[in-house]
Parts: sequence; C-alpha cells; structure tokens
Amino acid sequence: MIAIIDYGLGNLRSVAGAVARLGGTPLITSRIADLERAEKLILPGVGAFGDGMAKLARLGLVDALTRIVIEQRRPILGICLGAQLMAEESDEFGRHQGLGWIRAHVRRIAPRDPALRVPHVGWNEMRQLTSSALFTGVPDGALFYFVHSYQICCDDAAMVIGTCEYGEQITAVLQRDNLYGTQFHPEKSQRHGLSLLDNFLKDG
Amino acid sequence: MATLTTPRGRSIRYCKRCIMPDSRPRVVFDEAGICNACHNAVEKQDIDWTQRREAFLALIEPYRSKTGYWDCIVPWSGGKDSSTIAYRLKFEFGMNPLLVTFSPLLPNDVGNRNREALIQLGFDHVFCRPNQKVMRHLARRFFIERGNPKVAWDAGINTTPIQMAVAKGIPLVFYAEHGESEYGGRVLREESKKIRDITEVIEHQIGDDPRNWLDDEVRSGDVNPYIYPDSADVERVGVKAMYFGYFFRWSMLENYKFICSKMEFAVHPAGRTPGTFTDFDSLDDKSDNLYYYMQYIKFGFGRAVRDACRMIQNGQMTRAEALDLARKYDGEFPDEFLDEMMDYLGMDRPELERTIDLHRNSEIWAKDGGRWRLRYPVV
Amino acid sequence: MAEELLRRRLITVLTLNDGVLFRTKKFHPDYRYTLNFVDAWSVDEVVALDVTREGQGDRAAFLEVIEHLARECFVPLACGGGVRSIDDVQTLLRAGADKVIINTAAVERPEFITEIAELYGAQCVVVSIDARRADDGRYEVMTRFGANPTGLDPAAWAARAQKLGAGEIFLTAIERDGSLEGYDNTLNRMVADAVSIPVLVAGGAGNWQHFHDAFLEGHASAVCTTNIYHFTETSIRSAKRYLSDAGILVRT
Repeated sequence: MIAIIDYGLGNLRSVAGAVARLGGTPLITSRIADLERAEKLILPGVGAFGDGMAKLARLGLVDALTRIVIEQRRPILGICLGAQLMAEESDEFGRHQGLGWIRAHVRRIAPRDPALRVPHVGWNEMRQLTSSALFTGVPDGALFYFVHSYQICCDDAAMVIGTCEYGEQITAVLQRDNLYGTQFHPEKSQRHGLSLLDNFLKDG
Repeated sequence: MATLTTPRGRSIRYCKRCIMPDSRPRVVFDEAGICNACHNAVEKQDIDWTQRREAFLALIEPYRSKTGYWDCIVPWSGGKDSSTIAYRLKFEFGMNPLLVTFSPLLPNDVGNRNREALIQLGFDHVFCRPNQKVMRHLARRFFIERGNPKVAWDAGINTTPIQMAVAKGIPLVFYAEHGESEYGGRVLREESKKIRDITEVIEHQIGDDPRNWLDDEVRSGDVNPYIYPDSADVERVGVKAMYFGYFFRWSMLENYKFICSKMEFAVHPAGRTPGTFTDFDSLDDKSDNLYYYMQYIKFGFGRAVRDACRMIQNGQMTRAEALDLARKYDGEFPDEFLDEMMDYLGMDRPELERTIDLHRNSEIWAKDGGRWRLRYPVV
Repeated sequence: MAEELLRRRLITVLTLNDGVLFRTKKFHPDYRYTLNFVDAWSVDEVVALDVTREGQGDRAAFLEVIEHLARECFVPLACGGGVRSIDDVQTLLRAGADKVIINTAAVERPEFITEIAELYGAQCVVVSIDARRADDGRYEVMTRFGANPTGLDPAAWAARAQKLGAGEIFLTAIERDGSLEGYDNTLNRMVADAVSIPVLVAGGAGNWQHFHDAFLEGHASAVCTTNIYHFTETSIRSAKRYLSDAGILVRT
C-alpha cells in the first residue's frame, strides 16, 4: 500500500489515480497508523511552504514522518511543495522552518532574463546528472510539467540528480538514500511522469 | 481515446410541425416547439417573389456578358437543384454560365448520366477531380475523427468554384440554397441568406481551416483544392457568391419536376434511395449513403426525416405521412455501394462498424441486449 | 537571451454547458458537439469551463466531467466558470482540478485572488480576463459572460491581478470567440507586456499560423483553442510540427 499523505494540500486524487493506474494500491490518508504500515510514502503538495508546514504540524505528522522516514528509512517521494518541505527552511512569505531532512533551502526563482516569467509553468526538459532507479526508461532531457515559483537549493550537490534550465539551473530531482523529491509533477507529466512514478513504486 | 460527454440522457424534442429533432446542430426551436426551418418556410410564403425576381434581374444585368465571355459560375453537381439553376440562368435569363463541378468522392452512373444529359443541351463544364490519394486519406481520416467522410469534399465544393471565379475573372457565382435557414441552423447574419458567407460555411460545415489538415500523409502542396482564395484576390475580382434560392422560391420537389420537363433526368434505379422514400435527391455520389447514415448516427435523423421535413415545409406532405415514412425508412443501413465505400476508405466491415459506433452520440443512443436503439424515436 | 527550454503550450479549452461539450460563439453556447475525441495523450494542458447559465443546469454535471478528465488525462487541469467562493474553489480542487480560474468574482472582489493564493498557492490561481474592443481601438474588461462593462483596462487589471497573487492570466478577446480569424495580438501583447506571469490567450484560433502569431506577436506563453477539431492527436501533431518548423519550441 502506498500512502499518499493528506495534509490538506495538493491534488491527491491525481496522484492516487496515477498510482492506481500503475498497479499500486494508493491510500490517501493522514492517519499515522496508515503511514506506519505503508510500503512507501508520497508527500504531494501545492501551495505555500509555511502553510504546508503548519498543516503538517497541526496533524501531528512532523514527528511521525521524521520517525518513519529518517529512522525507519521508509522510501518517500516528495512532489513539488512536498519535495520543498523536506528542506531546512524557506523564505516564501517570511522565513519558515521545514522538515529538515535534507540540507537545502527553498528560495524564490529569479531568472536573470526578464523575459522569463515567474511562476515557471509548463513543460521543461529534465537533465539527468547521474543514473538513478527513478530514471529507468526515461530519456535524458525528457519533458516534465513544472509549476512553481520557488526552488530547492541543495547544499549538498550530490543530492541533485536531475536539473532543468530556466534562466538558471533549477533542481528538478533530488535523492538521498530513501528520500526522493521532484520539483515537477510526475502525475501531470504523462508518459515520462508515469514512468518515473512507476520506477519509484517498483525500485524506490 | 477519452470519451468526453457524460452519458446523461436528455430528452430529444421533435418539431411540432415537421419532424426534425432538436439534436440537429444549430437548429433553434421556439417556445411552441416549432423549428426555425419551419418558420423560414412560413416566411417564404409571405415573401414578395415578384420583388425578388426583380431584384434578381437587377442583380444580373450589370454582369451579363457583352463580349460573349462567361458571366456567371454555377457550382454544379448535375443534380436536380444545380441543374435547374444552370438551365434557368442560360435559357430563361440568357446568361452564359460556366458550370464547375468538384468531383464526388465516388461518382456513380446516375450522376454521370445526369451531368452528361445537361451538358448535351449546351453548357461549358469544368470538372475538377482532386488528388485521389489525398482525398481518400482525408475521407478515411475524417470519417474516423469526425464521423464524416466528406469534410474535404465540403471544403472543395466551397472553394473550387471560387478559385475558378478568381482565376477566370467571373465574379458572379450562384449556389443553390442557404442550408442554415432552409433546413434549420444558425443564421449568422440576415445577409447570409442572400450572399454566401464563407466564414459561416467554414465554421458550420467544414469545421476548421484546411491548412490545418497537414499530417504524415498530406503535405502543404496537397491541399490546394481546399484552400479558399486569398481575400485580396476575391475582392479584386469582386466575387459575389449568391444563393439562387433567395430570389426564387426554393423547393426540391419543384426543382425535380422542372428539370425532368427539360431533359431525361435519371433517378435511383431501384425506385427508392436507401434510407429514404425519395428517388431523386443526392444521387451522384456513392459515398452519400454512408454520409447520411452518419448523420443518423450522430444526430438521430437520417435521409427520410431530412426529405420529409423539406416536403412538409413546402406543403407537399403532412406530418402524419412523414412520421410513417420516417419510421419505415430512416436509418436504413447503407448496403448499396458499401463494398466500394469500404474499399475507398481502406476498411473492412468490422473496422467500419467500430468507427460508426465511435460516433454514436450516447445522449441519443442506448444499447439494449447488444442492440442499439434510439432513446427518443421520432414522435 | 539565453536559450529558453520551457516549451510554449497548446491548451485545449472545453466549454461545458450542463456537462455537455458545447461550442460557443461570442460566449453564447452555440451548439453541442457530439461524442468527441479529446486526445488525452497529446494535449499539453486542459482548461474546462462551465458556461452553464444560471438556472440552466446544475454544477454536478460539470464536476462529473472534471472527475472524468482528472482520471483520464495525466496533464494539468484548470477549471472555472462561476467560481465565486473558497467553497467553489475547494469543490473544484477536490474534483481533480489543479488550477482554478476566476473571472467576474475577481473583478468584483479582488481580495478573492489573494485569498485563494494564500490558501493554495499562486500557481493555483488563474485570473481570466474577457476583453472587448471598442470602435476607437481601446479595450475594456467585461464580466458576466462578456455582458457587463467594467471600465477597466485589461493590461492594468492584469498587472493588478498579478500583484494580488494570480499565477497566470487567461485572456480572451470576446469578438473573436468562436471565429476562425485569428487571435487579437494587439490585445495579447498589451496584456502580456504588462505582467511577468504567463499569459494564456484565447479567442479566434483558426489555423496554425494563428498560433504562431500569438506566440511571436502576441507574446503568449500558451495558446488556447476551443475548436473541437484541434483536439485530435493528428491535429495537435500537425500544429506542433508547423510551429516547430517555424522555430517555436513546443512539446512533441
């Protein structure tokens, strides 16, 4: 069973639909008992960082997730805001603390070229920096759907396994041991998105 | 492929005067349940046809050739309607028409004979037959994508006569009748009942710009027959595409009787065209059987209803008689020419049936124990 | 300018009347399209708009379609039409929408934009602007299905919407809706140049050259079309090939 963490943000239905389409058993839940027995976790999210953390805290999920993910090393995939929340802190609408699972900060996208609009919305190429279980069957430079105004800046460069170009290099995929994060939305990226998600479900 | 309409049943209403259903695209029913084609028919009774005739004479006079050169073009299929127009223009009004035909997909004997018979009375004729590889590909493609194998043909009949008008410097073009007002549809402007509005034609009949049709098989050099001439050229020549039916009271039955009185007009050899009770309408293309059948699949009414409505509107049939004929013949499966049609489309019978079913509008069709039935049959 | 890899988008717009796909002309449901073939796998993004007039149908039909789309198309889905409250927003998001489109409500209560952005993020809010062109060439924002004049200038309103938290602008030239004449690129450029968020343009798509012009002359980030014949896989591929050949980067 794949637990899709419901903390009130994110298009849970699409993620669940994609997991189901790939043959997995999705469960949209915020119950700690469910998260503990899940084979893998997905942390989706669309919205603001501070708000996301507040909602996780309110549900008592911060400690529980940290235990499951960091201590028990359960595989987890963070999507968009979900990936950003894994960082230490963000400066979106003021300074906010994140889950602190990875040494990274969330900063606003600020392309040098004024012709580049923010939020970064649409299909962009994901460059693979290294091989990964997530990338099986996904060609280098494959297009994924991005929609975000903030990016994850990793202190540890080795964590960044996929990037995209938008006036600057942006973290597209990160991985550290059992932690995976995508800035784009695999559940909204059709063929390649589903492949990547499939890879997470099977080999993540 | 994702199906989009949710199969919510909706009740189909039938016009209280004729028997057209409101599933016909763009038809408008008033609060009394009468369709706009019937209203148009009533309005036609009040029209001062003498005045219209005067208007027609005034219209053609400045165009009448003084040098003997052609002075008008008739987009011509060889059927009762376009032949009536051609005949009257030449022999009643003394004009010098050039007849322009955009070839049917699959010309048949009756059509060929009827064209030959009129030409023998003394007409100049240009017959345009487009690249058949392209035509067949588009016929198949649009049959699958839109449930209509004649989309490209529709573009052709609207474009080729105008291309000819521009190329030969013959500005006056006479089409037959304005379909939207005569048969029930959306009239964009009052003017369009008289002057053919190509925008209206594209939006309603063809659906999109033929330049969009380029695909793996169709290259940019392949769509010339379907591209409407540049507006600058159309203006320079002063092309005016008019509806003959605006000036003379339009009735397909009367046109049929007229042309029969002038020449040997062949009708359907079996005495009745499949899917309807008439034997004299739309006979020149073997693909018409499937074409009209798809109308039935998509909108729930076929040739019989179509013909009956026109006759009711012209006072040539009662609604009760129409119902009877519709129930008997409407939606008859087009066995005639089917093999040839499947061959033309490059399909076998199973694929044909699958494609037909793809276009069944779930709002009007239901499947009961493996058989399709109309949710709301004609009443 | 650095080579931009972000693709320009081709967006299919579905206008639904009581849950049924309709073609609109100058914003009036014109006639229904029959069973159709929105190709789930070729589109870049889908916009679904409920154009049901008050009292002419119920929301449930629209939501059914949204749920269906969310299940079948693994691309972003933006939904709108009569969205007036956070409740409406939530309903659409729960049904499967990724972004919510607001129009009249934003003009009548601009704070609504901020409310949604704060709850769900700016990327969730698309402000839709319908503009009418006056005889003197000036444009005016219209609300309520294009019937109500507001006196607002579209570019100024778009800029304000961005400040209030809009993530994207969905811009429609009212007269062009349902016509095949091409986009109003004077309008498009004016609005696109006034903001630094993406602008999605609609109204007038007839052929692929129009798409091309909207990107280059109109400065659009995405072109939208409601023409059903543009939704098939073959059509989308045809359009994208045309655009690629003309040097515009699109997703293939």
